[in-house]
Parts: sequence; structure tokens; C-alpha cells
Amino acid sequence: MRILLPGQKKCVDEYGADLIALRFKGAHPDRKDASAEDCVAVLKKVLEAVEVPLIILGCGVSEKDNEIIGPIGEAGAGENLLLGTAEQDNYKSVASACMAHKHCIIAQSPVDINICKQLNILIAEMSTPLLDKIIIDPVISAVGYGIEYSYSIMERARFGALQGDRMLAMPAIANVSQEVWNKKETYVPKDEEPEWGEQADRSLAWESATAMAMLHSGTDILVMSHPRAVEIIKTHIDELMQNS
Amino acid sequence: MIIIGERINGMFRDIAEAIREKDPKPVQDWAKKQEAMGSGYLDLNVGPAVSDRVSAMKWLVEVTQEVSDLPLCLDSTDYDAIEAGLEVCKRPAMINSVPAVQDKMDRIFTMANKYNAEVIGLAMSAEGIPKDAESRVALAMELVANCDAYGVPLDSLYIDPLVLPCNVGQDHGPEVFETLRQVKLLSDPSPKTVVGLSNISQGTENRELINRNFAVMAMACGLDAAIADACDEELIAAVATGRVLLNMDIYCDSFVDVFKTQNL
Repeated sequence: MRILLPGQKKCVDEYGADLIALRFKGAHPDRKDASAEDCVAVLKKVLEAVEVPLIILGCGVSEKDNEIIGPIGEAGAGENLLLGTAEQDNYKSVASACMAHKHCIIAQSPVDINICKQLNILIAEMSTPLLDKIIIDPVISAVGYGIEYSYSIMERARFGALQGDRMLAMPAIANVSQEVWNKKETYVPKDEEPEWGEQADRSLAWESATAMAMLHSGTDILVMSHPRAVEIIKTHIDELMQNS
Repeated sequence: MIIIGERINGMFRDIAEAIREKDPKPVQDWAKKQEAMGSGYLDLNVGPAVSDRVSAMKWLVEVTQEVSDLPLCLDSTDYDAIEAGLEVCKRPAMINSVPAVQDKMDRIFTMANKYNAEVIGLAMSAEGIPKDAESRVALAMELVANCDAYGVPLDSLYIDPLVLPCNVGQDHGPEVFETLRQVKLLSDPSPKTVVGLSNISQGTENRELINRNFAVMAMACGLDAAIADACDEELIAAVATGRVLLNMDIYCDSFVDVFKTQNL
């Protein structure tokens, strides 16, 4: 079980992150439209700063992400990066970067167990060794925004894997912070919604609850933001491991 | 459903010649082909025309194991040959087969214990194959009781309700399906079930059509395994489809291709 925080050295040293997620938002054409070279420069700085594994996530625009992922993969050769995000209709660029430079691949499916399985097959068809480097991203939702669906997908995947389905027996990742912190329940202050209570407590509870549910569903990597939420989850993991 | 590939059988000319000439290639080619199609086990049968069945079975096991890690199903009425094969098996194998006849059950279940083998038990007695489901199930119960008495795990026992060709034994069909269902109620854990699939179409036209439809109908009655033509593409596709329809495998668009890789 790994927990990670978007951030860098502080996250590793102070908050106990096991991995760091780098989200290259600046590469978005409507933002900085950062080039592949710019992204590689950032990657190199982070590689120098921290020792933990890195998760690489793009800007969300397929054409741009396909441009930057190759150079990033090449610059990070030997670092065993977790490169995202491969989807059913757009996986070849990421898969090629992983094949060429021996990285792990994050295979994302839209809350659909059938597509999840099919994408793993497509990746394996491109490269058999990649089968052992896939991380499933089932696309989770926050508490109150459809987490039950995410939980069900993970349950089916886990049961399938335990019953021998090799095409679902992969580690899984949940992008908790991305889903949680843009929801009004986490950022709206108390004076706007007095019945909701203090924003600090509320947001912490939202992230912790989302992360904990996904942990229980069998997720291996939780991408989180709030250091205190990370603490809560880490304590919980220790408790679970003691009782096993 | 597990496919037990049936092709390595001395009744086929190429295998008979291979055994005679001690030429491993035909045996090994068929082992690899059947494995590539998703077989879970490989059936080995020296065939009718061999005088020294013991060394022939030993040889079949040895050459097959050189190219495949699949568990083997040793198919013979000669129990010395089966034992000789079990002695050289690298991993636990399946004994094919024993009827509900006491002295034979004594020998085979003792062997199963010694070699940690699974057993195919035939729902027939010295008198032959009964007609109705109740009589078949009663014979299955004898096999279950002996299996248990000898300390062989009950889920290592595969009951074969004995399939007869649908042209001459057409009234046996529904009895076989009913037997497959009822065998699962005999014990907890229950025995598994198996059929010799090709028997349903012996002497008929449209053999593949009959085989694959029988396979899927039997799967719906709980059939666990079938000794069958693993290289029949449409049969394998039908079985893969059956597994999805029975919610045994999670659907994906490449569900047929994935079924073939499941045992790798």
C-alpha cells in the first residue's frame, strides 16, 4: 500500500509520501502550453530532489500528452516511472514510451470493468512484458459523487483477480485529491453553508473518507493532498496490518 | 470450463506411429497446439495397437512434459500403465478413469492417494451404463463414498455421467444433463463433473455443431471439464462465450482470445 502527495521533497521528507505524482498541467495548450523540453526540465529537477518513484500525469489533452510522454519517458529512463494515462482509444504513445524505457503504465478506464480488462489485453498485445507493468486506474469519484460505482468496479476486479483472471490482477491507483478538492463540500467556507460546519474539518473528512473507501476496495496507490488526511490513512493501514 | 485436450491418442495414426517409432515430434506438436488453444490438461492415451502399454505411457508422459507444463490426464484401462505414467509425472496428474466397480476403485483410489492425483469416475457398473439419471447418480454416490473412504479430496473427483451418441442414445441426453446437476448435491465439497465430449456426435453428421452445442448446454448444468478437440476453434469460442454468459469470466471485447490464454 502506498500513499503519495502531489508535491516534492517536503512531501517525502515531512509527510511520508511513498511516491510523488507530477501533474503536467502547464503543458495544457490553454495554460502555459509548456513544451516537451520544458516538461523534461521539470522532471529532471524532481528526479534530483527526491528518491521516491514518480507518477507522471499529463494535462488532459490527448494530442499534447502524446507529444510530451515520449520525451519524458526517455529522460526518465532507468527510473521506473509510472506513466499515465493510457486509455482504450489512446494508449499507444504511453505504451511505446513504457516499452522503450521500461516504465510502468497507468491504464485508465471510465468506470467500466469490461473496458478495464480489454485495455489490459490491448496493452499486453502490444508488448507481453508490459502486462507485469500495468497499474489500473478505474477513475474514482469522491464520496457523494459516485464513489459507490468506483467501489463496485474495484470489487469486481479484485474478485475476478482472486478467482484467477490474469487480466485484472494488477495494482490499482485512485486519484483521490483530484476528485475531492474541486467539490464544493471541500472548499466552500462555513459562512456560505453554515450547516456544513468548518471547512477545514469538512475537507479533511471528505478526502479521508474517499481515500479510506478506496483503500478498503483494494486500491494500492492513493494520490492525496492533505498531510493530515495522509496521516489518518497511514494510521489506519497500520491498524489493518496489525490485525491481519 | 476446463478443456482436456484429447488429441494425443494412439487411435490417431500419427500418434500410433510416433509411439511405435519413438518419435516425439508429433506428440510434442499436438501438446503445444492444444496448449495454445487454452487446454487446461492434456489427455494421453497409448491407443489400442500397443503391446507394451506400460513403457508407451511412460514415454508419452516424458516427451509431453519436455514441451508443456500443463497437468496430464492419463487415459487407460490398464492400471499398470497409468501407475507407470504417474511415477514419472512432474506434477499431480489426473487418472482417466475408474468405473463404480469395487476392486477397480480400490486400486485407483489407492493410486490417487499415493500420487496426489485427481480421478475421473465413470457412472457405470460391471453391468454397463444405466439409462436414467437416478441410477447414474447412485453409481456416482458409490464413487464419492469410496473416494472419501480412501481419503482422496472430493473435489479431486470428476464424475463422468457417460455420454452416448445422440443418434443412437438420444434418450440419454436429458438424463445426462440431470445427472450433471444432481452430482453437485452429493457432498460438500461436491465432486466435479466431466464428459468425453466427442462421444455425443459419434457416427453423426455435423459433429462440430453437435459437440459445441452439447458443451454449452452441459456448462449450464454445471459441467466442470470436457475431454474434447481443443483445436476446434468454434468449440473453444462457444465455451468462452458460455463462461461469460454464466458470469464466470468478466466480459471484455476479446473474451475468446483471453479464454485461450487463461492457463498460461
